[in-house]
Formats: sequence, structure tokens, C-alpha cells
Amino acid sequence: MSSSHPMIKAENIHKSYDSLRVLKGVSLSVDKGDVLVIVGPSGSGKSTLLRCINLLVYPDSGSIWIDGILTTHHEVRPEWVREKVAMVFQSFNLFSHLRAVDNVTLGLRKIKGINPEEAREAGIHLLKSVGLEDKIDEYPANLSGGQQQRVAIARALAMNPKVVLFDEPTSALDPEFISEVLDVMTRLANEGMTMIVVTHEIGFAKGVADHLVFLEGGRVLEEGGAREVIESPRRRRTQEFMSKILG
Amino acid sequence: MFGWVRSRALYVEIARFLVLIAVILGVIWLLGSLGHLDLPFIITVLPLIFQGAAITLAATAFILPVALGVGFLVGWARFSRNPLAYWVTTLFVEIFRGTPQLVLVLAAFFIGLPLVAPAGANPQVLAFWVGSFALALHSAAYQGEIFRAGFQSVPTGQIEAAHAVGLDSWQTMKEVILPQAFRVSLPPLGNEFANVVKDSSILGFLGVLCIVLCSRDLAGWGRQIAPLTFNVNTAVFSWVVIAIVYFIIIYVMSTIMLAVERRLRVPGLEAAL
Ligand SMILES: Nc1ncnc2c1ncn2[C@@H]1O[C@H](COP(=O)(O)OP(=O)(O)OP(=O)(O)O)[C@@H](O)[C@H]1O
Ligand SMILES: [Mg+2]
Repeated sequence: MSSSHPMIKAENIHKSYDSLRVLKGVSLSVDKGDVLVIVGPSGSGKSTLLRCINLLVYPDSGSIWIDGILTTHHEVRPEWVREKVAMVFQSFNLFSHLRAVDNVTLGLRKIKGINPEEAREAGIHLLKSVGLEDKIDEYPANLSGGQQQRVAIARALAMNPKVVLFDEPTSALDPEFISEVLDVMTRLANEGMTMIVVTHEIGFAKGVADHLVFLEGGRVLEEGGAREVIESPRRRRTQEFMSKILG
Repeated sequence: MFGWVRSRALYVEIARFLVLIAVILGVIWLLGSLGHLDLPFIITVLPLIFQGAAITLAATAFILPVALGVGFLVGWARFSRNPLAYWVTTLFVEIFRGTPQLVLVLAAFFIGLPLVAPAGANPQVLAFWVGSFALALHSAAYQGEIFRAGFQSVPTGQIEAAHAVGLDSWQTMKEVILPQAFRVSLPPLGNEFANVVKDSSILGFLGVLCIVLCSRDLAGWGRQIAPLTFNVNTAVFSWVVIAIVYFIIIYVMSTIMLAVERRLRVPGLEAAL
């Protein structure tokens, strides 16, 4: 169990869009099996940071290691990184023309070359694990938001990733559907998946997260144990932010 | 392959066909009762009309695939981020979409034809080809815009999700963008195909131009036309027949397009269909 290196390590990440400096030297580290929650105001660079970690965008400078392998210096293909580091989006982003099971198995069929019957078996198994055994052949348009997001989680798990990134997975959902998604995420965390979750669901952060990072203006303002930062933040900005999202 | 044609749909199709035949027979009877049917005229003009229909089909068979292929590539290039491909195809679209087909066909005839004509070639046949080519480019400009809109209808979030799954750019194009872009493009493509069929009539101008300017077969033309001493009363018949011929061609085509659309229909994407 004890590996010498963290599952994810990011060091001094910088990223700008034109003249807009979004990330100004962010570092973080997540051990295998840990859950890191990232909070921060809108525009603070949370989504950009996640995108850098699975190389949907390349950081301008800084280094990222996934399971000890340096990924940011073009020694590995970005597609390889994305297989290891799956992502779940705020707006689900299911493929509209594919049934739930085919959404889940697209990567298995097209990247791993698994034959359709075997892939379908695997897809059905994954959909069952997120409680959607009765929606296997449904198209995304016929699913509720909560169901779509659970399909998206099953899709993320299909490639057997080492890490799953969640970018505000519940903030596009009607309140009634939030808990079914958080339940799936909680179970995933308990099964030992390494996760980075951008969310303002403080209950989830307190109950499930090991660590918490407060990002503002492209910098890590405060970090520490999740419960500790939420309940007794040390910096004034963090206190203000926490009292705002705690309502 | 056609197992999806449910027997009920087949009956509906047959019923529609029978109604169509009945309407055509009714129109012919109406023409007769109004005195528009003149047997010697019909016997002379019908072969000419069917010859024309054959030319229309030949032109369509050439124009559609060329325009579809070029249009697809143009739409793709206008969607891509390659600046050179983007500007070249944008220029192409602006030129060919903004010029009336008649002008394009005449330009092909007066400018293009002398450039490509090999010595001794039949000018009438060549005129047909350069004219069809001009029409194909015109339609390609329109179809390029149809495909571009189709490509752009795919939400960027889905493209990002495809990359996040681990698909490379080509796989993302093939598995996520194309299947959706194609579905969204089908209905406007069907309209454009019907336009291609009808617009091929512009090629008829070239036939006339050739007869006058190529001064080849003036006498032969005269012999064909001579018995058709113009008479509005009887000429109505030929217009009705021409309309029916166009209608049948376009009807068959749009039935096929509709079947393809139905076959590919997916909930959530049908709003665009
Ligand atoms: N592709 C892009 N091109 C230009 N600017 C971008 C791009 N992506 C993000 N930005 C800008 O970078 C800044 C940070 O964006 P980011 O999405 O990372 O913030 P965030 O913390 O996730 O915010 P939110 O809570 O609203 O999701 C914003 O000002 C945003 O407008
Ligand atoms: Mg964001």
C-alpha cells in the first residue's frame, strides 16, 4: 500500500489565457485513495486547474506527475494521461447520439479495442453500479440530470482510471437529484478511488474529503484537512468564503 | 438492410403511390376535357421531354456527388481551426453562394469552355459538363454551409468529454462529431438536393446557346422544332408533363432522404431534424 510517491503531484502550475493570468503557481499533492476537495470563488481557476491535470489544456509552466510519471513535458501522449485521469463535468456532456451503455463503453471499444459484446457486458455492469440497470439503452435526452450525471460517472470509470476529477458535478442539478450523485461519489471514495472534487457541497467535503484546498485568484490561499479548514479556517479570506457558502 | 421498413410503413408508402398515380391521371383527364390534349403534338413533344428528363437525371447524378463531396470538405474546413483552409473555403463559399447560377453557368460557357475545350470535341456535350460543374460548385457552397452548421451544432462540452475519455482528435471527429453533424445536416441537405434537380434546368440555356453560337446543328434543331408550331393551348400539356417529371424525381429523392432520417433518428437530436 505504501507507495513512495503521491498519486497526483502538481508543482508551481502557471496558466494564462492571452493576458489573463488564471493560475499563478499552484502546487498540490494527492495520495493514492485520498479525496481532495477544491473550493474557491467563480473565476479563481478551479476548472482550469482540473483541465491542466488531465492535459485538456497544457500548463504554461510547472510540472505534473501522475502516479510518479511526469506528464507535462510531452514525454507521454495526452490521450494516455486522460485514460488514467478521468473527468466528470458540471454539464454531464454525454454524447447525444449514443445510448447510455454506448456512452459508457465508447472508450473501451474505440481505444482498448474490446469487442462490442464484451464491452456491453462491462457497460451494463458499470451502469448497475451507479443504479441505472433500467436505463441501459436509453438516450441521454430521455434521462434526468441526476441519471445523466451517473451515466457520466460510469463512463469515467470505464477505462479503469487511477484518478477521477469532478468539476462541480452537482451544481447543474435540480436539488432533488443532488444526493443520488453524491451517494455514488461517496461510495466511489469509500472503495478507495483517488479523487479531486471541485464542489461547494460542504456536507460532502466534510464527510468524504481528506484534504481541502481554497483557491483564489489563481493561488492556493489555504489548505489542510477538510474538516479543519471548513470549521476553523486560519485566514480571513477563507473565513469569509466559508461563511458565505455555509449560508 | 431494409428490415426496419415495418409492413405498416410499407402500406402507407403504397397508398401514397396509388394516390399519386390517381392525381396524375386526374390531371391528364382535366387537360383533355379543357382541350389541351392534341395527339400529334403529344407524340412529338413527349420524346423531347423524356430526353430532357434523362439529361436532368444525368446532370443530377453528376452534380450531387461532386457537390456533396466538395461541400463536406468545405464545411469541415470552415469548422476547423486551420487558418489557410478556413480562408480559402470562406472565399469559395462567398463567391459561389453570392453569384446567381445563371451567371455561373454562362461564365462556365463563355470563359471556362474555351479554356478546357480540346480540338474537335462536341461543344454541346462539353457545354453540358462545364455547366454542370459550375452548378456543382454553386451547390457545394451551400452544402458547405449546411455541413459547417452541422459541425458547429455539436456542443463543445461533448468534444471535450471525448478527449477526456482518451479519444484523439481523429477518433473524436469520427465517433462524436460526424455522427451528430451528419444527422443535423440531413434535412437541409434534402432541400438542397431538390434545388439541384430543379436548377439543372438552367443547363437548358446552354443547349440553346450552343445551337445558336456553336452553329453546328441549326438545321437539325429546326427540323425537331418545326412541327411544334407554338400554341399556348397545347403547350400547357408539355409544361404539366415537365412539372410531373420534376415532381416524381424529387418525390423519390425526398422519400429516400426521409427514410434515412427516420433510420438515424435519435431522441434529443430530432429537434433539429
Ligand atoms: N479557454 C479559455 N479562454 C479564455 N479564458 C478562459 C478560458 N477558460 C477559462 N478562462 C478564464 O479563466 C478564468 C478562470 O476560469 P475557470 O473556469 O478556471 O474558473 P473557475 O474557478 O472554474 O470558475 P467557476 O466557479 O465559475 O467555474 C476565468 O476568468 C475564465 O473566463
Ligand atoms: Mg469551473
